[in-house]
Amino acid sequence: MANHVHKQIRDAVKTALTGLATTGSRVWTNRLQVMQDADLPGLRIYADEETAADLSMHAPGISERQLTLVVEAVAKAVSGLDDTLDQVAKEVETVLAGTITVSGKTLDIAYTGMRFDDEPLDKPVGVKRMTFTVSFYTAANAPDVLI
Amino acid sequence: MIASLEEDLDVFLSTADFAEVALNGSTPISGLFDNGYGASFDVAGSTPSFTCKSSDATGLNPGTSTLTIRSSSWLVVGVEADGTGVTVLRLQEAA
Repeated sequence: MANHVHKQIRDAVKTALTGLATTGSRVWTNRLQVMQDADLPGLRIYADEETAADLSMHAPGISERQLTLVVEAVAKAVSGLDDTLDQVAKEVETVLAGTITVSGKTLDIAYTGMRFDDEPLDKPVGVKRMTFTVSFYTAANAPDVLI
Repeated sequence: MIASLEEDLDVFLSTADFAEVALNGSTPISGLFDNGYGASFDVAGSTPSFTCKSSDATGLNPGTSTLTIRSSSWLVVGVEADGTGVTVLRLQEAA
C-alpha cells in the first residue's frame, strides 16, 4: 500500500523545492522540525487542513479534495531578514506556479496567501508562511491512490 | 525598603562571584550574563540577557545601544526594570 496522498504531495513538493538558490537542500516535510542555524534559511512543508466533497452516490465514494499545503520560509539574521524571506518566497512561488507532479499525475496547485511572523532570539527569527491549495481526487476507501 | 535592596545589589553583582563586566562603550557595568537555550517558531537559538543595577542601565536605548560581553558585541533590544533597582537587558547579536 502506498503512502497517504498527503505524504505523496508533501514529498513531491519537497522534491520540487529542493535545490533552490537560497534554501538549497535545507527542506523538511515536518511541521515540528526544529531548525538549527546551519539549517537556515530553510523550508518546512506540511499539510494544514483539507476540505472534501463526496462526488458519488455509490459506495465507496469519490472524494474531491482540496488540501491546504503550507510552505514556511524560515530565516534568522540580524539584518536583511525580510529581504531573505521575500527572495525565498519568490523562488518557491515560481516553482509551485500552476501544477505539480505527484506519482505521475499532474495536480493543480494555487497560491492562496501568506502570513509573516517574527520573534527575537539571539538573532531575529522570521517565518513567511505561504499557503497553497492542491486539488485532487481519490476513492474514499483508497486515500493513497490519486485518480 | 527599596533603598536597602539597592544597597545590597553590589553583593549580588560582585565580579568576585558570578557577575562579570560588560562594556557600554568604555564604561564597565557589572552584571549577570545569561545565554541559555531558547527557540522561536521551532528555530533553535539562545535568549541572551544581562542583569544589572538599574542605575547602570540609564542611558541604554533599545535598538541602538550595544554592550561588549566576553569580546562579543550585543545589541540591547529591551530594557526591563523590575522596580527594585534591578534591570534585565534583553540582547541580540549585533550586526
